[in-house]
Amino acid sequence: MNTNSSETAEGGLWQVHEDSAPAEQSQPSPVASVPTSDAPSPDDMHPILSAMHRLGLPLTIFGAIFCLLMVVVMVLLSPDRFPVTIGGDTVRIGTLLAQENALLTKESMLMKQHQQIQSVTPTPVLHQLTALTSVPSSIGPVLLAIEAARASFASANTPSPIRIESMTADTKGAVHISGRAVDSDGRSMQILASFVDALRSDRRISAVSEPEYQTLADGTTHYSPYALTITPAHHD
Amino acid sequence: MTNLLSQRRLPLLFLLGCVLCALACALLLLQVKMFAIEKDRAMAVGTRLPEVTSRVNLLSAMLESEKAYGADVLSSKEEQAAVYILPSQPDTARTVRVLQEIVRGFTTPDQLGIDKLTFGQPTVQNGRKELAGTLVMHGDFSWVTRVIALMEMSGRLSVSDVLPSAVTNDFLGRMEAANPASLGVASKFLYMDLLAYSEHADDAETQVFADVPIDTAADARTLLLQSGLADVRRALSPVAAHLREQAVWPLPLMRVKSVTGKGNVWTVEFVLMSR
Repeated sequence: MNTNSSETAEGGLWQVHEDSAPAEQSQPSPVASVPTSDAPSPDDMHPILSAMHRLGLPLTIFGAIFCLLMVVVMVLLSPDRFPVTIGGDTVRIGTLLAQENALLTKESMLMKQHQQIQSVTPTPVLHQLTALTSVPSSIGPVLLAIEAARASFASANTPSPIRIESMTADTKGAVHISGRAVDSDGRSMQILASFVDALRSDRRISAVSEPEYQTLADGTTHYSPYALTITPAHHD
Repeated sequence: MTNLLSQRRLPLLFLLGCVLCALACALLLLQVKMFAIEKDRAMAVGTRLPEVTSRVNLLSAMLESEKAYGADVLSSKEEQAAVYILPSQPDTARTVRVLQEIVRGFTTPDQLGIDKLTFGQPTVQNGRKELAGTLVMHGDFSWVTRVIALMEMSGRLSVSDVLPSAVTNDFLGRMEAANPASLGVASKFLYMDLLAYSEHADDAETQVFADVPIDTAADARTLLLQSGLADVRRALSPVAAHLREQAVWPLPLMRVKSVTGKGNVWTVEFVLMSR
């Protein structure tokens, strides 16, 4: 049944009116399209390749800008311009490095001046003397240490109770002293022990042998004989 | 543009974009690494800087003293060393006079005296002439000790000659840390003539420590005394004026080899040195 027609009843006669149906319009002819190439369209490719096709230009533009930005950052934001905190002070890295270079240059210049002064007045004998006296002496300082310890027991009116009766000392090794600690009140052993402690506390002496403590009598006086071996400090 | 957007060139653009992104990332990592390296370097420099500064200050003070010392004074010291301390030949006559004046300077002959002084044959050691000597004295241990200490002090002309180099560096470092302005005075103190120091030790030390805090002065003074100046005060100061009057300073270079004592008699074996 033609839907485009209408039927009316007039006088008992059916009349068929053909509606003038608009002619089916054909699809407009497509606009002249780009002639297709031989390469497949993105829709026809693998999805990844298709994505690559679509992202190519934006990615290139992004990469170029990113690269340019990094170059600018490297030029403008060099580490020399940034501060560091050292010991409570904040200084620029570049300033710090420049300070060190300046100091090292100054040090080098001062050393050259020092050498120039030395070369102006040659002092070969003084140099030889310096070499000979650079080796520290051993006997003198130890003897002074022994004397200082001994003198600490003396007073203005009383001589030292530590008497040295014999001594041998050489530059090769230890100093051997023997004598007696004298005390009329019978405290000679205490005095001797204190003398040994005083020797050990002197920085010029590294070791003192332990004596044998005894008290002997000589008339009304008591004394403690001793024999000590004293090692100088630098002979360790 | 059309060509650029052609289907054939789009994969190349993608690759170019990837390369540019990778390059930018590499630059970023490089920048971060450079920052880290420079920061570490700056921290290391910052830690070293005080030491370098101190070293330069010490060198500057030493140079200032050397310039003030002058070439004339240096020449004078060289001449003194060549004539009196380390002559070309061992001078026994002067050595006898020196030892006698040392003993006389300490005390009276009944308390301390020279019984005998003998010299052996000269020998050559390491290219230098040496003369062995034997000194026999009588006296108390306290006096003999000072004579021996003074003999071992021979050959030293200035304060710094008595002190180990580590001690002088430590002393200058402490002075510089306490008051950099006092470094010049401290450096001149080290160059001071040893006999002059021993004659006026207290005044010399007071002048050196005038501009530093009391605790620093006390510590530095203790360091100097314990390192050798106490022995100078004990052995040289009592006879300094006498040695100057008798013109026996500086002392000829002697080295004590051994000391033997029995009762009140002391035998000192020593070596008299020359060039």
